[in-house]
Formats: sequence, structure tokens, C-alpha cells
Amino acid sequence: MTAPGRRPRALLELIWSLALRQLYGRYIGSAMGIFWTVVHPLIMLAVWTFVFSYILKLPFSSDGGLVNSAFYLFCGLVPFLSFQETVQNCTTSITGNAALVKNLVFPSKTLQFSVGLASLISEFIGIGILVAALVLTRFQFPIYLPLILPFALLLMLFGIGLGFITCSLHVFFRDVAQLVNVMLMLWLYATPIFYPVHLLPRNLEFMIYVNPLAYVTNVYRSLLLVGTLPSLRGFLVFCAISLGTFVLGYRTYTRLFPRFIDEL
Amino acid sequence: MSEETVILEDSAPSLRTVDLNKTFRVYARPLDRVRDALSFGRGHRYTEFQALRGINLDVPKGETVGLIGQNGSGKSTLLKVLARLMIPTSGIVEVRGRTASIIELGTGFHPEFTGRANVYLSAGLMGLTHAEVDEVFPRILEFSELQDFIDRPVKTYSSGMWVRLAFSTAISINPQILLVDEALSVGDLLFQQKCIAALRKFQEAGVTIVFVSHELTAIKTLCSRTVLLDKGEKISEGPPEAIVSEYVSLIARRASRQNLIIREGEERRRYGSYEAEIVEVALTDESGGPVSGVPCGELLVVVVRVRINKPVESPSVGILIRDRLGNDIYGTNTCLAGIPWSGHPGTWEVRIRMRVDLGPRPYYLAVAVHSGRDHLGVCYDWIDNAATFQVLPGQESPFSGYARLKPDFFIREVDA
Repeated sequence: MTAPGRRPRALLELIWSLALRQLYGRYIGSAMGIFWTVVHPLIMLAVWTFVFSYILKLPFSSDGGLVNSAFYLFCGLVPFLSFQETVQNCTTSITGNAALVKNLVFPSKTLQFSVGLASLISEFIGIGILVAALVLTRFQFPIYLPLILPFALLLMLFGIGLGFITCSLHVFFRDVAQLVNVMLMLWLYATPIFYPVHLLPRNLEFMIYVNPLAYVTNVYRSLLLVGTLPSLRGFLVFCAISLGTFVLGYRTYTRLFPRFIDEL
Repeated sequence: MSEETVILEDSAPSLRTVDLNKTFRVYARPLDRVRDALSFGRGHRYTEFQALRGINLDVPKGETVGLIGQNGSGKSTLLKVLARLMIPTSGIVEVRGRTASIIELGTGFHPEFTGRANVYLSAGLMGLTHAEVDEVFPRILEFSELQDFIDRPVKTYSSGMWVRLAFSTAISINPQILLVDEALSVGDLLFQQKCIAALRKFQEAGVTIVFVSHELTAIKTLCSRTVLLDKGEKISEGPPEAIVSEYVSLIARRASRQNLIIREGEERRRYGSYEAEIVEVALTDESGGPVSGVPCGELLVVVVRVRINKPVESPSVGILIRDRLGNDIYGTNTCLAGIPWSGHPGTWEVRIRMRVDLGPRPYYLAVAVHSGRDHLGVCYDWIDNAATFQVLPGQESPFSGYARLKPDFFIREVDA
């Protein structure tokens, strides 16, 4: 419930420290600590470079360089994993913090925002590694890099919006968490991340147009790897979908909150 | 309100409820809930539980109100509604002022993080900015007395230390309204006293306090007014002394089902060879009415029904009173007391009447039938926690500890 008289500064600081708690909490006690957030994507990138450049040799683009496929893959996977993390962690954000929500008066939506922020931070680490690898192997810096920011933010809001809905439902139906995991897995394979779009059969092409994540994958690739700008129209549609989902989720959460605190 | 009440400009209640109701829906199976949800409001596969019924409460600024009542009477629900942790089903809640609620202490702590990090996070949850926590941090540290431990992970803390840090953080926001649920019963004695001292300081500063407690002494000493809740209803309200004794007589009157033993009670530990069995245990007053509480210094009767299944050697029926921590307070049996009893097969009723000169707190009663002076040799049936009872403050002067020894005092002046 929204506590009366919360100041924006205190709210932002709370979201920030809750996000840090998640990031640190994941690795606390391990010897390398927060470095795992960097090590993990680095190893992923290295393995894929190997698998997709030496073994599979999938034709992601026409110029098909040695490390090209791995970059294409990584570019698609970074936003998807961030989105997946947001939705999954949002889903359990209320049930996992039941003690907090039940016993402390605080604006509980900060939990979902902090989940989104934490995923965004790990996404930025992934992008940082990608850019570093691009500079080192191809000697080129993606000049459109700053334009990633609005897309990453909109994607976060899209994820939080869905997360608001799934976390509210999860309080009532514990099966929701399993369902969400399955859906996200299907979603991952329905998104052209592991395969190039042009390999998709004609009658399944519509999946690209109804899938915001396919759009995001494409935009990340064109901004970071190809160096072309996405169309304004596509951006506006994505804005509408993300913000619409966010508002819908926010309102669902606000409406269901009084009911679900009784269930915790 | 009394007739002399003068309505002052600032005497608007800082806490008020009007006709407050809270109903919970209880579903037997998760599937029922799914079905109800899919039926768009037409499904009714739940049972309703009304936790609060028409509560009217007025707490003017600066007053300390204690809520008492048995478990399940709605005290904690009411406090949660006041804390805005629950939304009432119907009725009005008005809370004016910065509120600190001490409901369950330290629930926001992350065990892997240091005490310091947890203080910053908890205070952040309460609405403070980082800079503001910097300011109050020395006060929190001083009150908690955890200077040497503040930079260690709280998982290394004892439960007492954990609570100390949480309480210190909770009161650091300078509340105008303080809602406290049973928080005083945790932590060591010294810290409890410190908490009470802190509450008194808040009282002097004009902070409005509502607190729930089973510690009737705390209710009597801290409150200016007490509200008695029963089955979700406010049944009376007034000066602490009067309301506490009303509560005492309420639970003394109330029949309690827990005294009935059905074989294979899951929560009670039971063992024995069952040549003789305990079939029923009941606590009554002198006239035979069932009780679950007894004022200190009054009579309590333990009724034990025993069925002797086959001839056994020198059977003996005994009781053992224990405190919450499992310390043996008093035990006796027919053999130790030198009561002649043949104990041939059949069903017997043994009534043990005793004056309960014990300190006011809850006690647990173990009942046994065994051979000879104790159960360590041949034990036919032993039941832990066969019944519980509460000793309540009595008419006599209060004392500390477990045993009322009824001392005589002799005072004279020597060497003037």
C-alpha cells in the first residue's frame, strides 16, 4: 500500500538500495562476489563464439564474420534475459517478501521497480561486455549505443508491467510461477535469437510482428552491430505497448493489493 | 465520552475507527479459489471468518491504549488495520500523524548483510533518505548497544541482538503514533526494561501509543486505557485495572476444549506401555466448572481419568507443572503423596486440588500414570502438555519469580 507522504527522493533511494540488495545478495559470501555478474556473461559470450562460429556456423548476416554469429546471439539474448529476469523475479517479489509486505508499512511497488532496476543493471553489464568485445575484435565502436537506453527502459517497464500482474496472481495461485517460467521459455524460442529471421517458415513469420521481444532483438542488433536506426513508427508502437502494459499491470496490482495482503 | 470532556482545537483524535469490520475468506483447497475466480464473482466456495466486528475506537493524541483479549480475539488484526497493513472490509479508519509500527521486529533484515546495511535498508523502507539515516544512525547504534557488532552480518547475531537492532531502528523515525504488537516480550530483561523506558519517554513526549500484549502487568503499568476484545468484538473499554480483572474473570469462566484428551493427540508427546491409560484430563475450579486460568493463590483442580486395563503393580497417578521453557516447577503423584490406592482394573477418577501459589504466567501440565514413585521405571502412560493453564494476577500483593512463599517481614531499627 502506498504510505502517505513518501517523498520521491526517499522512494528512489529505496528502489536503488533494494536493487543493490538483490545484486549483492545473489553473490554475497562467494569469494569473487559481484564479479560473477561480469564473469558469467563473459563466459557465455566465449562459449557461443566457439559453438556458433566453429561448429554451427549459422548464417545470421550476409557478411558472416568469424565472431559475428556470437555477437548476433549475444545481442538478442542480453535484452531477453533481462526481461526474463524481471518477469520471473517480479512474480515472486510479493510472496518472497511476504514478511516485509505483511509487517512493514512501505510502498510495496518499490519491490517490482527494484527487480526491474537490478535486471537493467545486469543488462548494462552485458552490453558493456559486448561493446568491449566489439571494440577489441572489430575495432569499431557502436555510435548508436546511447539509443539503447530508451529501449532498455521501455523493455524494463514492459517486464515490470507483466510482473505486476503475475506477482498479484501468484499470491492467490502458486502455480503461476511455474506457468510463468514455462511461458518465458516458449517465448525465448519464439523469438529469433538462436536462429536468423530469414530461416523462419513463411506461415510463422507473423510471430515476429506480434512479439515485442523480436522487435527489441532486432533493434539491439541494428543499433549495436549494423549501425542503422530503427523506424520512428516501430518505436512509437513499442512505446505504446510497453507503457500500456505497464499501466495495466500497475492498475491491476493496485486493485488487487487489498485482497492479496490478506492471503499472505 | 464523559460529560466534562472539553473539545480543544487540537484534540481531534489522532486515531479513530468507526464501525470497523474485517472479514477473511478461507478456501479449503487452492482449486476452489481458481474456480471462484473463473466464475466472475458468482462462486462462493469459501467460508467467511469475521475477525473484527463493528469496532469503534477513539484514541486522542497522547493517550496509551492497550488491547487485550485471548488468541484469535482480533487484537493483532485491529493493530494491523490501524497500521494500514490490512484494509478493512468496511468501516472507517483515521490515522493522523507519522506512524511507526512495531509488528514483527526485524522481518526486513537480510541475514547476509551487516547490521549497518540492514539499518539503512529498514529505515529506507520506513521512508527515510540515506542522508536522514546518517543523522539518526548514532542514536540507533547507541540504543541498540551493538557498537561492536554493527559491521558483522546479522546472521551471526543472537535473536536478542536482532530484535534490539530492529526495535532501535523502528523507533528512530520520531513517531507521533506508535503501534506495538507484543514486541516487549522479546529480548533479554535488561532490553525489555529499556524498551519500556523508551515507551515512557514517548508517552511524556505526547506520542499516541496503541499496544497489544499478553503481559497484563505491562498493560496495567503503561496504559491509560484498556480495550478488551473477544471474538472480534470490543466487549469493554475503560481503566486498565477494571478491564484486566474483567478479562481475568472472562478466561477463568471460559470452558476450554484443550483439556479433553483424545487418544493419539498429535501435538502432545505421549509414550508408555498402556497397561493403564489416561483417558481424560480436565482443569476445573472448586465447584467443578472448567477453567483455563486461575488467579494466583486460588484453588485449581486437576481431574485425571485413568483406565487400568490389566492388573498392574502399585500404580500411581501424577502431574508435573512446567513453565514455557520446560522447567519443572512442581510435580507430585499419589505415591509420593502417600495416598493409598489399590488401582485394580477399571476406570478411576483422580482429583488433585491445589492452591496455585505461582507467579502469573502460562504453565503446561504433564500427566502420567506409572508404577511407584516416578515414571523412570515402569511408565504406563505419559502425556506432555496434556493441558495448559494461565495463572493470573491475584488479590495479594505482587511478587517476582515463580513461587509465592508468603514471607513474614520483621523490621526493627538497630543502633540508632
